[in-house]
Amino acid sequence: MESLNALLNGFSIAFSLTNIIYCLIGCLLGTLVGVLPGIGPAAAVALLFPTAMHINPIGAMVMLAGIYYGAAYGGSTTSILLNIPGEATSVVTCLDGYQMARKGRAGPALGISAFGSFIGGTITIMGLVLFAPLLANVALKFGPHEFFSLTIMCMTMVTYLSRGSFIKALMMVPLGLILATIGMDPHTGTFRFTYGTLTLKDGLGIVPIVMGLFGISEVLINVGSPVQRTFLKAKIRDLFPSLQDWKDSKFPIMRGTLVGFVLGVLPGMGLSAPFLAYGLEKKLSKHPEKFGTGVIEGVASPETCNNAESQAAFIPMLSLGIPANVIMAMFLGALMVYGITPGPLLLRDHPDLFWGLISSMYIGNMMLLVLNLPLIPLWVQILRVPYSYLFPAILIFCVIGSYSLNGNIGDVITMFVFGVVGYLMKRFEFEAAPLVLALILGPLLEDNLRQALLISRGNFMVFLTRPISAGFMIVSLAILASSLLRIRPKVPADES
Amino acid sequence: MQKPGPGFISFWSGVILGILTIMMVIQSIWFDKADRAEEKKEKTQWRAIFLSLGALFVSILIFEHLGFIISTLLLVGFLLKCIEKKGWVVTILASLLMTLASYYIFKVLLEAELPKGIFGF
Repeated sequence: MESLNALLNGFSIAFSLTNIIYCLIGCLLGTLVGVLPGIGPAAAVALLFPTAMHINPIGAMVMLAGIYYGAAYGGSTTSILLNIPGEATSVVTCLDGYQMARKGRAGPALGISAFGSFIGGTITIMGLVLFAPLLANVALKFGPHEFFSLTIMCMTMVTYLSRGSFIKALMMVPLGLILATIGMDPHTGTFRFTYGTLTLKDGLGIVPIVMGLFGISEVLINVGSPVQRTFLKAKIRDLFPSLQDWKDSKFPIMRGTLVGFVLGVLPGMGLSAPFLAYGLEKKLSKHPEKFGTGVIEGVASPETCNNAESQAAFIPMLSLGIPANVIMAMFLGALMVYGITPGPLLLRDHPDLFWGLISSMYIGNMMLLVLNLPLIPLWVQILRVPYSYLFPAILIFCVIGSYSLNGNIGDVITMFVFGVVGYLMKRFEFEAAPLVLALILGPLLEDNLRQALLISRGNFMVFLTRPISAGFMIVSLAILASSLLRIRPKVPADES
Repeated sequence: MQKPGPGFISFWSGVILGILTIMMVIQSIWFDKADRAEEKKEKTQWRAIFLSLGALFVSILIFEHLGFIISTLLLVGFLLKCIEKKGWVVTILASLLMTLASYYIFKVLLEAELPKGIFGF
């Protein structure tokens, strides 16, 4: 009951005119970057980050959140119409979505992904209302030992389901931790790895690194191997799926929501969620051989899943202060700029922000459904902008975004360097996600480690003798061991 | 070990990174021979990549000296002319349009901080 009252209060905040406008701007921008391949929600949030700092914390969070889940809606459009995933999470949608479009069923495919996303998103927000306060209450009892072990667990999890070589993904974690130590040591005031430069004394900014790793490197990949886009000239009609379509996708939507919710809460698992949802449907289906030829279940399930996942990621961020993905990490960064400490105390100290944000997500989901179906023809038009004009624009945005953070050219150079690094990482199949997560969690990890060791007078065994902490450690060890013995599920196996 | 100092995380991360690197080298020598055979066949256009990187780097260098408008104009113009091989008219029009539009959106509407440069705009 307490939550319900708080939620109602949250709605009264979210329904204020300014917050509705911020929510609308966020949703529209999110759909736009979701539709455009080559600029993802991470880069978009990074771009608007400096600007969002001009408005109040609630408005800023509402807008940034809109970009984030809006992109999950928009990503399906390109997958279905162009066979090019607008987002990494829409890769699986291509398989059946594009085939449906080729059969002249682009309308129902787009329709079911919008409805599925809405259903998945709304159910997940209910889960968020239920679980986030519970989790925050439990986490209030956590000490530095538990937080240290939890961080270690997050880092091993993010490498667990990464694609390609496990060792390569694992290597990114210590690398990220080393990068995180650059700058002033908060405990002793010593400068680490700064080489006397002013820019490095503040540490590396997360935003320039993310823009480099995800924005610039993506441009370089696309410039280096131009994709020939064949546009499907199918007429889009019948956006409302037929009764038979609903019957077929009823259970896939439910299961997609569940998979997305569970994996969205776990740090670093989000990207693989739609793959698992698709694989699950294929296994449960009576006609698995038809998957890949344009069945509606193959669109409904992953599209529902990626939306559920993107909203479930808010649970660990809001209740524990642990980011489940790169974008959640930027949200943490934004909160810190406002002087709000993320973590279990957020709910108690800033209930307006917590409940206002959650209720705005209800509204945002509604807006996306109502706005997006009629706007699909418009998004299709935007897709016709050739990449020749798109990539200079993306480069300009990245330069502006990283410069306007602090008005420091050093941040732009950081972005440039990480653009090159990110390109090389993509070429040689090193995942960027573990690196960014380690970079963000690094200061948290270090701080908790030192505090824990101060309390225990330098005894490392405390991490294993305190029960909750030991539990996290055992899970991490199990993940590491099973990955090294190569018994982890192969994620991209379903792609072919 | 009893009292971790400022170098603690960096040192042990470095040790772990070293161990993982050795593991990767061993793995690639003994196990992954089959993987190396299937190199990507598609040709990478290195010229386009190096030109864009070079252009971006130069524009970052001149960014604070010549200001946002001039450096962005030059960057977009160069990319369109030298990589995309557009005609002069298209290049000039498109780069003007993109520069002014982004200036208007970010500087005027969003009040972002952008360098003025020696010419004062």
